[in-house]
Amino acid sequence: MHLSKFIPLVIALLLLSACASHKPPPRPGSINAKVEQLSEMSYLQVTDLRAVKRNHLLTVQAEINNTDSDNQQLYYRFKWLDAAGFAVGGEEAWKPVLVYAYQKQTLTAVAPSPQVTDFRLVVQSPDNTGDLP
Amino acid sequence: MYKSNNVLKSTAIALLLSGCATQSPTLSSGNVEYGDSKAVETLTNEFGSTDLQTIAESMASSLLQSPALFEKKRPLVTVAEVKNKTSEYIDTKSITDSIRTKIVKSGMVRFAVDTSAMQTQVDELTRQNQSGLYKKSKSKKMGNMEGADFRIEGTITSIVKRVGDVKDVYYKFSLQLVDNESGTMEWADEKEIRKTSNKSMF
Repeated sequence: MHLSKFIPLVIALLLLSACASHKPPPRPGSINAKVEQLSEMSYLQVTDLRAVKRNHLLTVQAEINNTDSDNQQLYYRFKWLDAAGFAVGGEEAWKPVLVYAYQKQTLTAVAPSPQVTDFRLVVQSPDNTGDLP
Repeated sequence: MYKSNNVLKSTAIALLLSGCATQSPTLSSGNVEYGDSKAVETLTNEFGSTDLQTIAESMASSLLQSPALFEKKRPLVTVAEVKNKTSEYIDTKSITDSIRTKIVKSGMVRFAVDTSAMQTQVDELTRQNQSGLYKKSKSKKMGNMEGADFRIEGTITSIVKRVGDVKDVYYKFSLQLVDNESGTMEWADEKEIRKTSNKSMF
């Protein structure tokens, strides 16, 4: 039995595993299922997320908590999805918001069309770990 | 035999690894690149693309929640002027165009031609009805244009302050919806933006 025969195969599998993510998918209905973080934010957290239909349009409110003693910058945008999971209304612009030290900031947004039934909140803070969430 | 085995193994690894790499379909001199048109732009503190996009999104979503628009089924709206009262050149038509596009895409409101497009509308109807080139049964008739239920109008103002190397700019974009028949203001909203820049290196 030549173990050396398997060494290249093991190396290849290890290298290929770098292309895949091992993080388990978030629980449906949880905040994490609706929030997409571009790298793990060090001091900002989405602590509350609620959505309701008003005048046929999905209205979303998110609460951002700053746990740091310095003000923190947040960039965010929403992705709006229809019942089939298709994006509605094109890409939103990134919006900057300043979250004061130890304060909670509320973000509100209204879906661009009555077809919207679901959403994702995409957030990024310059002060982050750089690791994938 | 041993050598050919090594070559096969190396080829297999190379093929597997090539799954991670992609080739870009670009032809470039290296000096030009495309960026994200939706990115937050902070090159200067003059009015920029992020300000325009933020104002348009904020105003369109607020307007779509206005009870005046919601109560009427697909009301007809026109865009009047947004006056630029700032000290810099701002294309306010570009802002109102973005707001109008977002509202039209919602499918909840219709827009009538505004004053800037009225001449084109008149020219088209005149061409169809008076040039003698069109079948009478197929040409669009004169006198069937619909008057808008509401008009959108507004202002953009700014306050600029400089202290040493620090420059602070405050923009306020105000928009209102006016009922054309009654002359009553049915909705109004504002979007404020503050931008501060510092020239100092230390």
